[in-house]
Amino acid sequence: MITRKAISLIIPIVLFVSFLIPINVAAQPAGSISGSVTNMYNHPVPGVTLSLLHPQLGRSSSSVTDSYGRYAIYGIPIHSVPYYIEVYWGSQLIYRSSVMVQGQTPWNIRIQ
Amino acid sequence: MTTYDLAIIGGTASGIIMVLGGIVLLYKGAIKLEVASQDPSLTVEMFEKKLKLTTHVPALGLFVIGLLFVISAIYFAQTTTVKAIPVIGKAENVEEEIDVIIKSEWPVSAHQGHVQAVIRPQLDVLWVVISAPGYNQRTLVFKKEDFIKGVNLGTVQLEKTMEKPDPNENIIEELPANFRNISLDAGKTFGIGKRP
Repeated sequence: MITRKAISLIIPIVLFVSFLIPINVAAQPAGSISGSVTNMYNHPVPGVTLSLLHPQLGRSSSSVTDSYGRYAIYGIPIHSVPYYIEVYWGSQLIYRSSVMVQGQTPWNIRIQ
Repeated sequence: MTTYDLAIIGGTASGIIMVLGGIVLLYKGAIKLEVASQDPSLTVEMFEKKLKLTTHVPALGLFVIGLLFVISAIYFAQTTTVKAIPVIGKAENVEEEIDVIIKSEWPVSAHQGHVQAVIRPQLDVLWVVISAPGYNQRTLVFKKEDFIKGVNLGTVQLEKTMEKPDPNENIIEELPANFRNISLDAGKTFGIGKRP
């Protein structure tokens, strides 16, 4: 028979030990999208901004292409509803297409 | 765990042992917290005798030295605070909005595929990447001695590589009618975008 005194001792010990044990929180599966932006002559397009748009999640952090036209967006939640990838020249939208992000998704973009 | 970590843990442990040991010695009567004599029993002179500490109670020294160990360990273990660094500069002959990214790097070593390292971020080198749509990016590097009073980019020239494309000639997929469009400047809710 566990007495009230024993319980009053066990509870704080359990609480103390639970603070010491590292908790492994299951991370939400995340994907990434990367590729390059080129023009009709297959030349890289530097300095354009790319971002993802999702009906439920909102807008992603943006990526800017380097001198080789390369971009990448990481930490994208895997979702059954597709994303829209957008390319902005400064503040002007020049490209938009729907894309399913699953794992490491390659996505090359050609603009005219 | 690095030698630095071990030194901090060792310093803290030594300080705690000195204080706790002092309490135990006091309890057992091995030392006493009372005036040893009318003459100063413990005198510490520092900075060419400009600073002089005198006590009639030498047992207090145990606690003071122990506390100094703990305080100095806490002081050296604290993370480095970085002061604000102003950034100025000008991009010339660039018709588009420029994008400036400032970053630093902390490389860590790996041995046979295994990485085990502790980084203590300090700003020794700053990389400044300036880009604009249709222009080749420029990367400038500043060493610590160059940005101690701030980062001065000077006048930056970017090389134009292409003209602005015609949006009408590109694929812009229509959003569904009930889609809540969010502007590019709005708050970002997910993902981490790579910058040049």
